[in-house]
Amino acid sequence: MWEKALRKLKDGEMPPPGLPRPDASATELLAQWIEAPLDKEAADHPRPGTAPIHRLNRAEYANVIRDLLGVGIDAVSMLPADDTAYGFDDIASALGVSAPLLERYMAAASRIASQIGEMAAKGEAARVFVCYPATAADEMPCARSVFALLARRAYRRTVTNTDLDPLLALYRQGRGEGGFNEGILRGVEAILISPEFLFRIERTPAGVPAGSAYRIGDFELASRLSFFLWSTMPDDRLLDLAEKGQLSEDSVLQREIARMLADPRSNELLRNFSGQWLYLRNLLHDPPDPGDFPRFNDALGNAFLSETELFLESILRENRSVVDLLGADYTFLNEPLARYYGIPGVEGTGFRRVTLTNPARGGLLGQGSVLTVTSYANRTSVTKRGQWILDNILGSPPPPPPPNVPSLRSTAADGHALKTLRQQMEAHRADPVCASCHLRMDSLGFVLERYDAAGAWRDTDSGAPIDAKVTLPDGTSLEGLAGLRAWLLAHPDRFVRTLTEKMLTYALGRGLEYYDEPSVRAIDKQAAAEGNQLPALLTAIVKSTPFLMRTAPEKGNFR
Amino acid sequence: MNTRATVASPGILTGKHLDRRTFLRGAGACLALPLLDAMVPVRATAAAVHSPVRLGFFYFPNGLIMEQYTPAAEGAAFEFTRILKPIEPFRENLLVLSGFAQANGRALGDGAGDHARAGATFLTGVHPRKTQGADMRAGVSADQIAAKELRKFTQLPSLELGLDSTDVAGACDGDYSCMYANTVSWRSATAPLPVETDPRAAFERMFGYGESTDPAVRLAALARRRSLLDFVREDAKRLASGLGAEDQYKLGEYLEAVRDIEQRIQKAEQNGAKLPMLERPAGIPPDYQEYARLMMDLQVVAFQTDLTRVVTFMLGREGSTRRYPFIDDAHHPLSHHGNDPAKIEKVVRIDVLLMQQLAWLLEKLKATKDGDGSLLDHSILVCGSGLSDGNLHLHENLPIVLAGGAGRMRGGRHVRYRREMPLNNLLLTVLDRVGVPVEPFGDTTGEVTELG
Repeated sequence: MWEKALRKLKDGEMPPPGLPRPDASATELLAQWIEAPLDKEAADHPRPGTAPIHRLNRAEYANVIRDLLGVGIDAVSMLPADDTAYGFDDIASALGVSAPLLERYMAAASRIASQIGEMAAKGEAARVFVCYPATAADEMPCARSVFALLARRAYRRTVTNTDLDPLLALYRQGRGEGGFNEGILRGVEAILISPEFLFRIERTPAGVPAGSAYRIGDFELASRLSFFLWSTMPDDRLLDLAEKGQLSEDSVLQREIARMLADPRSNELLRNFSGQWLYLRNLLHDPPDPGDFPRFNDALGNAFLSETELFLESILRENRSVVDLLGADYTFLNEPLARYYGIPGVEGTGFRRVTLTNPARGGLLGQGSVLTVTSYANRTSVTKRGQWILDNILGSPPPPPPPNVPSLRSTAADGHALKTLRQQMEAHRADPVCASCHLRMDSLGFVLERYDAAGAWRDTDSGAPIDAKVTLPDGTSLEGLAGLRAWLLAHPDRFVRTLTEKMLTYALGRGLEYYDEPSVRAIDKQAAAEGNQLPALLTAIVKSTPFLMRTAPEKGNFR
Repeated sequence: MNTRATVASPGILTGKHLDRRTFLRGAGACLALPLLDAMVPVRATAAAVHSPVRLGFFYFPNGLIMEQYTPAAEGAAFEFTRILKPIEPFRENLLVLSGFAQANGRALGDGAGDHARAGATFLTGVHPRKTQGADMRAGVSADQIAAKELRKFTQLPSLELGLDSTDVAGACDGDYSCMYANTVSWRSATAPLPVETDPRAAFERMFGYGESTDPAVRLAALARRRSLLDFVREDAKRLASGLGAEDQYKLGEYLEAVRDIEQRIQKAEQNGAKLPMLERPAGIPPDYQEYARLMMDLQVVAFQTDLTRVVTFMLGREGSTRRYPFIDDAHHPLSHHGNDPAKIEKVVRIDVLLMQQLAWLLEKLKATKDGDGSLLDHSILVCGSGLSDGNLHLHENLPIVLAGGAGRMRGGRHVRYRREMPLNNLLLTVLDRVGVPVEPFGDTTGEVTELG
């Protein structure tokens, strides 16, 4: 309850509009007064929380197959899309298992094993076949070393004979039926459907009572790190450090985070996180209608995505502040995209960095990708864009409508008919509860009305000039993207907090709870002290209580 | 290219029917699928053929424009409205049923999220828990109650198929897990079943992923799969001990999946692993109509070969934002038409298009001979939506059509039940009529009469 009140106070939502409002310094003091004991309690008695078992999602599966076996696969054709919760598809609780899904995994494993078989015949499967037996007597020791290496990587931990013996039993079966290679492939196929491979399981150490918080082990940390920063399994170096028990040492951890962020695999974090945070994944799924937007085509859609991906990469690689995501004065364009934006002097199909002089572009909110995924296929929606900004930039999603209020009514309270959408909307907004949300959503959306549903600049809508001037519920006046940007940059802490919450959700693979709020504040403080650079923020997330620790769950009574 | 498929009737097994052809359309290609005798269930040997009953569940997302759907007249003299028109040729096999509600789809204090609740209640009648976390809960669904009973006869307990990809960011309803809207099938109160939308994957679920058609090779592959499952079962059991309750639950789900597949393998082995030489569909056809028909053809083949007796098909996930050919707005935003006549007209055109899909399925079922009649004669399909008015998110007076069943229902009528009659009463009655022993579930209060 205190966390809720604190948040509303900081967002300026308390006290409600109309009531006398304390000045900013008084609010700040009050916030500190509420915050300090909450943070102290969190420091003294950490509550890291618990996510259930994670199943590898489709993107992770493809990356792991690449890293484990040296095989490229088309995961989209092999596996179904994963269900999402809290806006992401790496949420443990939403990643279920069923017979149809397990059959898909079996089919995938069988195909991947055949693929490796074909590669092995051509001597190209060195990642799996680390040895080839010269004599019959060499076969068993070679098989053992193949599986020792594979299982360690696939299960992301030290392996023992308990792990290897069943694999070798399968090997012998396959060996008997089709020779050495067949035996190895049988084991590979088994590993790929094993629960130890498909699931990331965190086990409470002996002696830790249920309900208490403890620091996770080094192997678990290695997996958390690699799946967060790389969307794939830990590499040998992480596993080695974990085996030696060094990974959790602060200096080692710091160094490894830096190494991982510098590695190209960290592009997977940008792609998977932002694809969902910014809804970029929807761009090619539900593109603008070609009838209404003849200038939009797949090539332009891909250019939109390239622009945003290169932009995000530049923030990470150049150690920039995450606030630049909104305020940067540069972007990445090729000639077709530059023409589309009306920016002269960019030639050729290659993308390059372009410094922007026109305030109509700059930052994520001026990019075609974002402007398009926040629109319907045939028109813009001020509600959709406004809600997107509230959800994903400001982190204050409009509360759901109160119970038992239908979204729109066709009759007014006095019984007379409300025919038009406008009448219904007005009746809807006349209710003060509805009004506060719609005003917030729609006004933020109106600011971006100068961009059409495919992200192109326009001066008119259906012939009428566009008014992109709005007054927010708190009295602030804004005009156009430049006005919105200036307003957001004047209070960057809300954006940073939102980004932190989204990233922490993605990093932990679970929804955040009220007891995570002190950690969110601690992460933001840490990142702010270093200038809010993206690498600093990611580092602070890794070093946070919920990432490094775990609350031991109540034990089940299975068998 | 041939846009009309014909499904040959397997009839009684005589070994003289190798020339039959059924057509499955892949992406752009027309594949000829020889329907081998091995596909025809062994049961069809006696002179007095007793065909099993198949159960279909057919879901329309986002409600319908009820004013242009509901017939004014009741009884046998009812008229086929504009939206019902496409299924008029099957008049004698249809019951149009008005008045049913899924009252537990309403907010009941939970606020926004009517689409999630419409999907979650449609076949369960249970108010779903509002959560995105691991504590997701609704109730077991009617199709899965049937699957639990009828699975003993067939390789697959059930098939869950649909046309909407779930790969869309930021698209779920309120604070509900996406699963509530993505599926109407719940194996248990806590285990929603995913809906397969890829025709190739659906095909492989039905007929296996092995490439070979040689029974000996197929049998060997089954044995191999069995040994792989033995391996992972031991793994999962070993892992489960000492874990938290929630984690054990998840491993339990995994083990249940393993057992399911093992049973399936066993049945396939008993069948000699003889499967038809069918080409796999290449993928999702870009054309909506072709895609829908391909997925429905697969259902017909599943019924025809008695691979399963329960199929649930979702034309779209609840809250679907699909854009249909010739309609430039997405379905869900359009369904909030705000009484704008132009928008209503567009929704009606979508509704008609969706009803045409049902007509296609009925036509295929009717054209497929099964024992002493057609597949349609030996099926009951519960068709409808978890919302009536999609604009206002109403959970009462749902559009429901019962199709099929000579002898199990008397078609050709429009029946209006009292307001707020639980849809679960109909579901319970249907299960009872097809011989599934069933306890009251969800909000059932009893059976319905008037089905004839």
